[in-house]
Amino acid sequence: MTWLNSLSYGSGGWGDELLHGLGVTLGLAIATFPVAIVLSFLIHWAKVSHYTPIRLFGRAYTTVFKSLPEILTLLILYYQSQAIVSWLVEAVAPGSHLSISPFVAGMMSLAFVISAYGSEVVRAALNAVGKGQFEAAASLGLSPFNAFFKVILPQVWRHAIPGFGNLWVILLKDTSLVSVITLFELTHVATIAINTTRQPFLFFGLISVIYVVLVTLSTRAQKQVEKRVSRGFIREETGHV
Amino acid sequence: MFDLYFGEMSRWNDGLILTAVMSTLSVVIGFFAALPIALARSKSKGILGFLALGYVNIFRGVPLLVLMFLIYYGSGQFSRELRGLGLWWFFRDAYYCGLLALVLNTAAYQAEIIRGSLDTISTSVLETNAALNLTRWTSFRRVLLPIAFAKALPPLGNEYILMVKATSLLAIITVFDLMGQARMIFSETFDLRVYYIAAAHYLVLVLLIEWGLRRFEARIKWMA
Repeated sequence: MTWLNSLSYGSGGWGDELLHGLGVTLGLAIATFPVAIVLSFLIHWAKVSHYTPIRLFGRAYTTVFKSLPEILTLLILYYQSQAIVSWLVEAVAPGSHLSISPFVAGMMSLAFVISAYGSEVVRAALNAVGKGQFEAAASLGLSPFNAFFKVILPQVWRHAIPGFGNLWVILLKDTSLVSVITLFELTHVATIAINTTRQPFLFFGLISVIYVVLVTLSTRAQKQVEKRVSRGFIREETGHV
Repeated sequence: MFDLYFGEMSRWNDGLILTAVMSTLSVVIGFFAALPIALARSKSKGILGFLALGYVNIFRGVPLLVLMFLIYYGSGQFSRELRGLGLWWFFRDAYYCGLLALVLNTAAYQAEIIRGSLDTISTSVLETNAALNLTRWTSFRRVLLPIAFAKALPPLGNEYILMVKATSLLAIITVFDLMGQARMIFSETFDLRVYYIAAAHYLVLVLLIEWGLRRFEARIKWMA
């Protein structure tokens, strides 16, 4: 059982580092998800905008972020934003230095990628609610802002939960890519641990198990939430909506 | 920008070909691996169905990058045993390990897609097969599978595009696909435009595949 020593909590083992990495992984996913949801709505509205340039922008955004590998998006955004920030800092205050943290770069690129898929979830969910709700709200004299927040949004999220639940799982797994730009999340901590312990199978196997558990728990929770929010819409006898 | 492309044209082309080959191979092999899993998920209530469910849940839960690390670096821990089994030539090679990881991953996703389309075939089709006295194997091979494939084509096409993107992870385990070549050229030039050229490659590749898939879908739409 000597392999257990390398997982112990403290200076001799990697238990505490892995736990910290797990925290960073979850933190990144949790910080990214709300941003991605808001962006999804914005991109959806851009795609149905009356202004052609905005509509084209929305379409180009989805095409680009759905076609590029996540890892390429990540590298480009990381290096490019770093270059832009250095250039700006150099212009404002020559000689000083400011660097983009991998966390922020990872958050940005994951939010962009997830929102490209999310805009389609939003479109489907808004379709499920139907245009009539918006027209009814407008005929009652509600402003578009009030109509969205008080009439549409309370109904739309029920339809969006399955789609966004899937995206959450994808996001959770994609956080492992941020290890490439040396963010100290689960996967990166494992690679560092392997450099000293020389036990690749143990550590990669362990974090695989952790990811599977996280994904399984997420899907379970999603099922529960789906059941709860559709409780008034399901016929008890048949189980159908 | 153009000098970075035309100056390194042969490397870009090599990378493009390897990306196309790896993604196509993994999707095709994954499809045939997914068939029995989908069948077990759809038809078997017993131990086989349970095993298939376990397979799907595990390989959809592990991030592909971690799976590649696990197979490529993890097998190194058992190099002596693998040598004894005569399997070391396979696990020593990043290309084979990467392909194995891609296949294991896509098989899990494709199994769920195929199961979904198998489950939507109406029972009247099964009854017709029985009425025509087809054996279960013939009915599966000549009727159910073609229908399920036609129904599943749009999501399978999506899976193909996801695999084209997923092959970029091979670059992390030292395979020189499009992304690997881009990383190599970047490490020589430190010119960020290299990644934009790679991005343009992926964009064109994905859009071409989407266009081809849409034409193919239109042709076999009558079956779905």
